[in-house]
Order: sequence, then C-alpha cells, then structure tokens
Amino acid sequence: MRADRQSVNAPRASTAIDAAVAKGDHDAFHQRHARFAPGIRRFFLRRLATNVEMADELSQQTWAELWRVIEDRRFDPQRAAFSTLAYAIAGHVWLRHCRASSGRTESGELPQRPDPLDFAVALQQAELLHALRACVDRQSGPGALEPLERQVVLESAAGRTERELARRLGLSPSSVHARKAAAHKKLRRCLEAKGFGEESVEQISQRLE
Amino acid sequence: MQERLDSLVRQLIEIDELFGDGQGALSARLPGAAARAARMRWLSFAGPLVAAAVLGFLMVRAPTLERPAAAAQRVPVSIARSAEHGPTQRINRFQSCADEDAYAMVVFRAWSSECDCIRWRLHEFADGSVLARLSAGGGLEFELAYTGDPPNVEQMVLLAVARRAADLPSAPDASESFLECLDLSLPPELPGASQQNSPAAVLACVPNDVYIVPHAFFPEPAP
Repeated sequence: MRADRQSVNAPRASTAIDAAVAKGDHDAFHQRHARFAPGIRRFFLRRLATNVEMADELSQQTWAELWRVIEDRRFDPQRAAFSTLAYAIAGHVWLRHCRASSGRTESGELPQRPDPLDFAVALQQAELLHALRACVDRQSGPGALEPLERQVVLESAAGRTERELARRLGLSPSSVHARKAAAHKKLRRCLEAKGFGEESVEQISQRLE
Repeated sequence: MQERLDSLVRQLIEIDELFGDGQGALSARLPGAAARAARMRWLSFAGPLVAAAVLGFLMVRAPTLERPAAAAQRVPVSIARSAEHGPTQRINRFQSCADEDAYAMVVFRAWSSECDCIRWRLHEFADGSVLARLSAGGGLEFELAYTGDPPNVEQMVLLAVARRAADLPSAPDASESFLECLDLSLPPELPGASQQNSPAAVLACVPNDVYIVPHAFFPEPAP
C-alpha cells in the first residue's frame, strides 16, 4: 500500500511544484534548485571533467537564465517538466560557452558578459523532449511502442549496435533493424500528432548543433 | 530523421541519469529494470564497504599498480557540427571545445572518384598543417566541403587527440601509414553503408596515447 501511495503522489507533488515555479513562486524555485542543482553541476562536469570551477560558473549561469525564463512567464509545465527545461537551458549555456571559448581575448580571458541566450530555441527543445518522452513512455493505445521496440530504441540510442542488440535479445540483426525502424515510425507519428513534424524536429535539432 | 531521434532519445536518457530518481526514468520501462534497480540499491550500500575492504587489502599488500596510460592522458573534447548548402557543395562547419591543452588531427571519410568508394583523408588546416593545437577552454573550428558525395553515405569525422604533438601521426610517412591502416581496417564501402564500429577500428591504428573523438552524420540532402 505504501509503495502505491508513493508512486501516485510523487509525480503529483512534483507537478504542483512546477506549477508554482511557473507562477514565479520563489520558494518553489528554491525547492527546484535544491532538487536539480547537483544534476546541473554533473551535466557540466561530464563535459569539463576536472575543471570544477568552470562547471560551477556555468551551473550558476544556468540557474540565472532559468530564473529569467520563469520571470518572463515563459515556462509552461504542461509543455515541459522543469527538469527538461533545466537540461535544455544547461545545453544552451554549454553551447554558448563553447562558442565564447573560441572568441577568447589574447590574454586568454573569456568575454565579461556572455551573449543572451535564445530562450525560444531552448523552450522548443524542452517541449520537443517532453513530447518525445511521452511518446516513448506511452504504454498502451494505437501507436504505443511494444516493450521490445522500446528496448531497441533506448539501447541503440545509448550506443549499442544492432549486432550487439541482436546478440543480447536473441534476434537476427535484420529483425532488430526492422524493430527499430518500426519504433521510429511510431515515434515520428506520435511527435507529429503533438505538433512536431519532421521539419520542425529537423529545425530544432539543427539549431542545437 | 533516425539520427535526430537517436540524439533526442540520448538526451532523454541523460536527463534521467542527471535528475532521475529512477521512478519515471525511461530505462525503468525496460525488461529487468526492477532487478537492475534492486542490484543498484544493493551496490550503493555494499559498494563502499567492498571498496574499503579492497583498498585496505591493497594498502597492506603495497602493490605496484599503475593507472592505464590511455585513461591518464584523456583530454575532454567535444565536437559539434552545423551544415550549410552552397550552390555546388555542402559545407560542414565543425566546432570542438577542449578543456585542457592538447593537439588534434582531423580525419574524415569522403567519396573518392578515383575508386568510386569512400576513403579516409586528413584535413589540412589553413596553414597547410595537419596538426592543430587545442588550448585549454578554447575551440578549434574547421570546415569540410563535400561535393559529389551521395547524401545517403554516412560521414564520419574523427578528432585524433593527444597531449603531446609527437604522439600523433602527423609526419608525412606516419600520416600515410595511418590512412592506409584506416582504409584497410575500414574497407571502402558502397553508398548507403553504415560503419557503426569505426571508432574501435580506428583505435587500432593509433598509438596508446592518442584517443578518438568521433562524429558521425548523414549529410543533409541539397534543398
């Protein structure tokens, strides 16, 4: 009974906090900061390895940018969870850092004031990721991924080759390939139904490169 | 589009890894996830105890263990791409970002009309050199223009990175052998082929102190 209560209540509490954050509630934002700050820091440490100082600096920039999105009332928890938005903003802060790094001054200093972020792209990315998660996660109904298709999609995205997957799953490589193609087709249709046609997926992805 | 979907799913997996408590994570939907989660819970409890016991044992034995050289030499480098269409060619602009001083060579696969196949080539930078210096926190930008490549050929760009310039095969003889090794390890293929194991095969062609940052992509079709 306790396990049931936890699994039902946990997402609801999280959604309520996100809704409060969207209204600019400081306390809710602090709660989100406490919950997700370690993850944001890990995001940058993964990319910067030993440069802890820079990871902390970029984490702070991410939280400042996140607050600006909240203040501008651009965060809609119906369209993206706070964690997804935080990830998207962190990704853009990282891209900005990479671009600024190539424009260092002769003394090796980074520009004092970073360029403003393109919030529209970050929000679009967060919403696209949110929609894709719902598509991958859908358990039933027409177009829902079968368990094996979901496994193939997740594991191949994580870097497993079709040959490796075939060995693991006891299937032929061509069967794995067919499963993956079928799953991608379902995901494309699902995304399209949520307003993300192939063209817009392509556009958003290209702007992140 | 498949590549895009893979990339987006990878981002979802990273979100789960960074922020997830495992409850709503996509990987929790995989068969056997409950058993894996139980194993992870057990490991999170028992892992530190086992590690402490092993460390204590090693300290008593005072062994002469060394860190693997390749791991010790690794420099964090990322690579990103943007594409642009010219009237006769596709221009791919690459940007890499390193966090420590290092040296890099750019190797890429391109269509060769000599053999009607894909071959490995070394990118030459503006100064004619095949070797570039990556400074800490700085970026390296380079462009590759593709003209006759069929759009359904998977392209592969590799950064060969090392802390010391001398470790990279940049001298004419060494670079020729390097490219020969790549062509032999990864034989030319027909359009439409995909080589998902390329980075592993490339590693066999470079010294231990060099590591590879791969970037695979399918060129966008001309508008």
